[in-house]
Amino acid sequence: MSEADAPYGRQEIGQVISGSLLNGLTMKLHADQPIEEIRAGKFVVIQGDKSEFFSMITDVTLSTSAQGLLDNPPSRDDELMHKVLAGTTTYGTVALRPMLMVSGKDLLPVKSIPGHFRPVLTANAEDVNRVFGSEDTDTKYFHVGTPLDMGETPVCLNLERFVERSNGIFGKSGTGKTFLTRIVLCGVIKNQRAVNLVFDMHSEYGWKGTVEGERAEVRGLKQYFPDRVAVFSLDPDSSRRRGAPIDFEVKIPYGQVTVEDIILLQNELNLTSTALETCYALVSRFGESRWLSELIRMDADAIKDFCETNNVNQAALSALQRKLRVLTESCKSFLIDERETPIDVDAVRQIMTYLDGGKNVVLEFGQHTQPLRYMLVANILTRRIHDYYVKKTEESLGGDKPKPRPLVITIEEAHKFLGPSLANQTIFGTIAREMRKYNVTLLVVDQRPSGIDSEILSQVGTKITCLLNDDKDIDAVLTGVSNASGLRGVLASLDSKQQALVLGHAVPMPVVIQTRQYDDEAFRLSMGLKPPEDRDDAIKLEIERDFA
Amino acid sequence: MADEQIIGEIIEASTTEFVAESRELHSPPPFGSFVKVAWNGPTDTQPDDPFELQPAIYAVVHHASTAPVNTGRRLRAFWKDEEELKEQQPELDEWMLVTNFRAVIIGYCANGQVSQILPPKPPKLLTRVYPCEPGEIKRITEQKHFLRTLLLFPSAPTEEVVAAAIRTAWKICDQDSFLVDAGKELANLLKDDYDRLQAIMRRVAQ
Repeated sequence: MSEADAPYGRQEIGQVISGSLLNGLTMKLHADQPIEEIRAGKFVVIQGDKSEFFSMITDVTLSTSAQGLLDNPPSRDDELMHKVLAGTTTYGTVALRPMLMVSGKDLLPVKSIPGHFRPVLTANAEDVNRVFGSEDTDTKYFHVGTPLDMGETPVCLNLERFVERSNGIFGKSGTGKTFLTRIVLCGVIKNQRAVNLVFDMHSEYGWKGTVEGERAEVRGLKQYFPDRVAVFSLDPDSSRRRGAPIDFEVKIPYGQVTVEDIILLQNELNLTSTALETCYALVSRFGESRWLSELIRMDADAIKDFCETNNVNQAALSALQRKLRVLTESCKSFLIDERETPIDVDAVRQIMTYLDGGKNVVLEFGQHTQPLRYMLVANILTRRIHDYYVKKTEESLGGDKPKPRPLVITIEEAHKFLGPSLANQTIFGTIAREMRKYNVTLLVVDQRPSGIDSEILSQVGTKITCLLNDDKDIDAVLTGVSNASGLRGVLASLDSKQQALVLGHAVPMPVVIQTRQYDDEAFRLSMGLKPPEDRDDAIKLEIERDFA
Repeated sequence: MADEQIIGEIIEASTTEFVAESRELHSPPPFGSFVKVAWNGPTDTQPDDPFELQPAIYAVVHHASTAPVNTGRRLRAFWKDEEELKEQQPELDEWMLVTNFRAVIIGYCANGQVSQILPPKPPKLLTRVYPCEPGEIKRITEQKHFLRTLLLFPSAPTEEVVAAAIRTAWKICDQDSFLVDAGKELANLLKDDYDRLQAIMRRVAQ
């Protein structure tokens, strides 16, 4: 096919010369195509006889048909020889991984390959829309970025599918995970496909966030959707200092801390298995709601008595008390002994009220950024919210009541919750596995995916992955992905900023994207935020009206 | 074709090459130059053909020699300079010596279409040989398949012939792209013999 025959915007770059369904295809690059412009992750279309094969470039190789040439290469000044050899004796071959077969309007999984010498074309905007959908055709599609080297053509996530499963956003520190998460959350909130609960460890999502390396600030979710986002805070002083308005201050009574929450912290608190058994002894003696406050209040005599009557090792109990006192002390600004200071409004109930009303909740941690506190609070709240959702789902199955709104819980530093030793015990492991049965899913944001239990990773629906260098992390992200070999190279060769590989449930085929700019004019407009001039006009109008 | 342009007359012909006697002693057409022989093929020319190519067989000169006409009698040295020789032995130039050249056939033209394949019949004996016009050379070297014919011709210094032919055509086309295209064709033909490709390209560039 000549370039003139190719549909608008497509350009022929080579021909298929070999390959297999299992190992992917090899394309010989046309002599006039500069090899340096062929990048791993680029989206191309192979024109078969009956179907088109949407594929991703996974590797680029320098090849030659004359072995002798490599032993005696032409000199650098011999321009003519370089030109003569380019595309004839020396040429580029490109490894392609077909991801999707398009036959008419049907998008099918790849079960065959195109024949010899079929042309390989760069994709055009229409191809991208056909595969990834367009915001213009349906609100379930949400623009998250553009394919590599394809200008302004948007790649969309199917949000309906996105919220059906737990999802992950991975990448090394500083690769733009937080920005990507903000973009995705904005999409989910704007299209109202689910409500969100964000455990905002570094106070980046609620009112405003920072730009790394610059002294600039970007809007948080609350500024985009003032009516649909509520900011809760564990540290109202910090929120006040940052000038971020909050809707609710979260206090957690001792009575809501369970043994399971302590198990989650066993590494952080350096607890032994005996300590956990001791916890259970306390629970059986004092009950779920009082064990912690009783333990913290015990003096030496009380410990001795308890150990004698309950057959517990005294040293173990003392050690447990010491460690939990450290915990309660470090969390004293939000972890409250309700027997001393009664709490008026239960935070979980408040969160549930908001979530039920379709409002999204961002919980800012303020100064409490230590993993220990973050994990404790996230686990306590999530466990109860999950119980609440299970109850509501069961009620809806029982008859009249509607199903609860799908809930997406965003957690950062997820490997601390979902590590192999903890995944079976914490509520996050349960949610990741149970998935949509109870309409609660996770959005896991993490820089060390290899620290997450592989069973959970394999169940993650959509993975959005920024640059990862560590082989273990790359392997972990590609767990549960078929034919992942070609994607390894793609993942390792992403730019260190604003590029991501999107694969899984919410996209028909894996694709590398240049992520959308967050908080620029176009983003603000697409989120329904009026341009500043309009806002000024609105204020002027209001002033005129008031003084008229 | 005008009579003054005649450069030779065929004295021996085969499917792949012909031998012609040069019109002037010691002045055969240059090595690697393009020559043509009238051919009694179809005569229609294409209406838009800028060169109005007549039916002809095209060939590239790959060998030239000057020797006594009578091959049975060996020429002896006269030990005289050129002027003296002309005065004292005019018969040498007039009838004792002859210059012949050989040309390898690379294609033909019929109905205004150039085909870079061997003609169905060899040229007739005693047919006149003419040099190709620049326009004709441009036209017949548009495609580079003739390089394969030259490369595979057995009894010639092929690297030299190919290089000379490319140089001749390049001077007329005056475009570097011609050189690159010809080089690419050679690179495809010689993919197993990089040294030979290099040797030819070096000769072309000189």
